[in-house]
Amino acid sequence: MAPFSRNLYQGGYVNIDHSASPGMPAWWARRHGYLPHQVAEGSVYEADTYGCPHCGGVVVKNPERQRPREICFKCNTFICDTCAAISRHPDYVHRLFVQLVEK
Amino acid sequence: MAKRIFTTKGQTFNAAADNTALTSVIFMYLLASATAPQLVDVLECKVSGMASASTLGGFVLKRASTNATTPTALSTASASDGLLLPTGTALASTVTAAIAAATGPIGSNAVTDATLDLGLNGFGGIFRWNAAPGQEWKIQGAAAPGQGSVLYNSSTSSGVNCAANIHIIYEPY
Repeated sequence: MAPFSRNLYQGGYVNIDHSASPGMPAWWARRHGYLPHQVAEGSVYEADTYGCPHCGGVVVKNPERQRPREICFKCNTFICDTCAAISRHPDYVHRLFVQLVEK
Repeated sequence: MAKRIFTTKGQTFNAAADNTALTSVIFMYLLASATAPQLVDVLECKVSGMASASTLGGFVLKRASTNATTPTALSTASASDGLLLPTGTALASTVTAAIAAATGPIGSNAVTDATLDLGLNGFGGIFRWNAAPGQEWKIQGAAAPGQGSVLYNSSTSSGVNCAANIHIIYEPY
């Protein structure tokens, strides 16, 4: 286990507590990127989050994800899937969110 | 140290579609000062569902693709915005926190604009997201969509009218 692995970085935290609630229906869970049992009645879902420096948004790390996370080697950090797709455009220019809004 | 908490209590967030101007008292809006431009870090969002029956709450934090016009200063007991440190001093460049406006902000539906999904069952559900240092939700810019962010109950995210208590912890610079 690498001591400075990006995957070990805990980052932010999300807690969705339906322990005293009927929870969310399965179709809603799938539509919003959860597995149904994660937000079902009586469940408590916890996950790490990280910020995407390209769009300034927040990504909830799906603990069930198998494919690798997208990494920007110019930032040397994880980025979100949407920004990763955009970064593959042939005319893409690398800019961080704070650089974009300051223009 | 100018961290602040913007809170609404017992507010019913009627569901509204993305990319439409939000009507008053169904949203929580943060607008950074255009001067500099000011940077605002959103450190935490917490939604406590207060519905009296099972209710899908499609709460989202989105960038405002169009800023609100003439935001109304908070004046009712149902909302507050204050410093975490009671002896702290507010910054000269102030963030506008509002739940009403002459014309409400528009939640962006652009695929390149970030959305924080805060969906939960409003009947007893609790959603809390806390950012790591350096990975906060950023608000910055002199114009939309970077300058303002809005939290509301999105019918586009399958939300229906839902009462909730919400707080947003943020830090302006």
